[in-house]
Amino acid sequence: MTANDIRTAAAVLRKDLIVFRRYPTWIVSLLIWPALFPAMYVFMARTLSGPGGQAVAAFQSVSGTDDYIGFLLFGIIPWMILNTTLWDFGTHLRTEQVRGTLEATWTTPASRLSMLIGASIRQLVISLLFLTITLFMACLLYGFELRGDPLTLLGLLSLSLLPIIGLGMLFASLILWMKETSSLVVIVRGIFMAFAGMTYPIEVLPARMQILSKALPLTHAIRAMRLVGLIGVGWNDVKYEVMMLAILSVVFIAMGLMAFRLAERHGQSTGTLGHY
Amino acid sequence: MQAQDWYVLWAIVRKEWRIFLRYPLNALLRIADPLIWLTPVYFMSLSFSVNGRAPGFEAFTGTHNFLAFILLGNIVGSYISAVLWNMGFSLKQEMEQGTLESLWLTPNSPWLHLIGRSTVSVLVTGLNTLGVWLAAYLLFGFEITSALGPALLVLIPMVIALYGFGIAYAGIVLYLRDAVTLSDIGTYTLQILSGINFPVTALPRPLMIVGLTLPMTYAIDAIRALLIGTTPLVAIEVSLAIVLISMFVFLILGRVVFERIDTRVRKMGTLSTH
Repeated sequence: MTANDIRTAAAVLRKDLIVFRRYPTWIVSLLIWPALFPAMYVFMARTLSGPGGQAVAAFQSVSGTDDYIGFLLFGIIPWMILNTTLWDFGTHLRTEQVRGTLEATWTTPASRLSMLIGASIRQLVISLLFLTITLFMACLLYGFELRGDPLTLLGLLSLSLLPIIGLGMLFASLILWMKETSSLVVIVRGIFMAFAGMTYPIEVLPARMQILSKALPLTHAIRAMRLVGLIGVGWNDVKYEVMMLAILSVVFIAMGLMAFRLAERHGQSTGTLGHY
Repeated sequence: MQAQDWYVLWAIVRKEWRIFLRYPLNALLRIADPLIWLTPVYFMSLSFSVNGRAPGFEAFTGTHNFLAFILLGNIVGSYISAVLWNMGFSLKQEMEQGTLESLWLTPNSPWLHLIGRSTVSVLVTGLNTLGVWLAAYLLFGFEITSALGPALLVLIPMVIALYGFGIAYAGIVLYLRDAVTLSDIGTYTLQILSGINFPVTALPRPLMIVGLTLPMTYAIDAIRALLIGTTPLVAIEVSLAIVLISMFVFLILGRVVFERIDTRVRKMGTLSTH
């Protein structure tokens, strides 16, 4: 990256953060959803565990822990970050298109990839803010206790964000081409919600579904974070998950970059960049 | 209502239905989305199960049929969502398309628009529910063997009550002009408090008290008791009475709130701004 590219990315980041600040309802959502979204699953798990905790032993035998609230939160938090990424960063190019600013910014000599990198850094900032609020709310409302090493968890989380950003890039490019936002978000986030083990250990899935589950980066991120955060294991015990996350990060980021280049070329050659 | 009003109503229903059919992917996703949300819940229940039975859930609710419990709750939940999203945004959409002022300038009552939209929304949500039931039958083997009649006696007034609330909500959106966050958070909060996925007795005490003030809670509870034999919160007759009273209250309240807001918005001259 040249100095110009860094300046471009920084300008996009600054612009996006200013836009974010201008919509108070977005900030309200950022504060309310971390408290509200886990509630449905926490109360459902409470019902399933029974009034006297009769079924906790059954849960422990498949999950390895009796802390079902912590188990759920370690699944829900990464999924919420993915969901936010798809809605915000995933629709970044489309939003510019609808506002009529995509063509204008793309005709400048600034690197288009740097613009996308600027938007992805903005997403990282928002995700980290979201995570901090969620952890605070989880401790306050659901009695969540962090047992593992916070630094290891932070490292795992940073690694987990890479494939999510790659998916966001892929998604943003797809939307630019297909011009359909909400249906695609529902499908993609739904696949992760259903198969990444957000609320259950993937061992309860039928064997064929487990194959799909293991191809999703979120599955490995959730599993590693649960092992570190609930059981208290170290890096050595999550080597397989870290390796899978690293591989899937490279795959998803490469796919995201490739899709961006293709969408860019398609828009330029068909003259549809301004269409929506 | 005069013959002319029926004609207008029919035109509105036809227009709304045609718009619905123009977006087949969205129509398909309305069936797929509840199933997507059900999948992690279903597998979560398996992780608390022993030999195919969930003992904790059974002790809490009096039934072992977890899937039916969730699906029945989600029927009322889908109407809550339809009311807040479809009704809440029905007029907002006309605002954005720039057609609201033109519609309001015709000699037809705004009521006809709201009734027409409610009719299509009830129909679409009903079809959606049937689609979800069919898919749940094929995917998870879901079946209801009890008679549906008594349960419909509770569901129908509940749906009318919800649409009464929806009319008031449409007025609120007319005033606020943007309410995505309100609808999103409102739907989810009401679904939690009325216990669509768990009995309200599983909520912490302060939330349970709020949940017990909502008529939806009693409707869901009575429907489950009638169809799958869960232990009801109160006698089914009491639940039915609560639902019937709330039907009249919400219909009257909906009309009063909407008329007041409509008059105010016309005075402010903000009908076309968004």
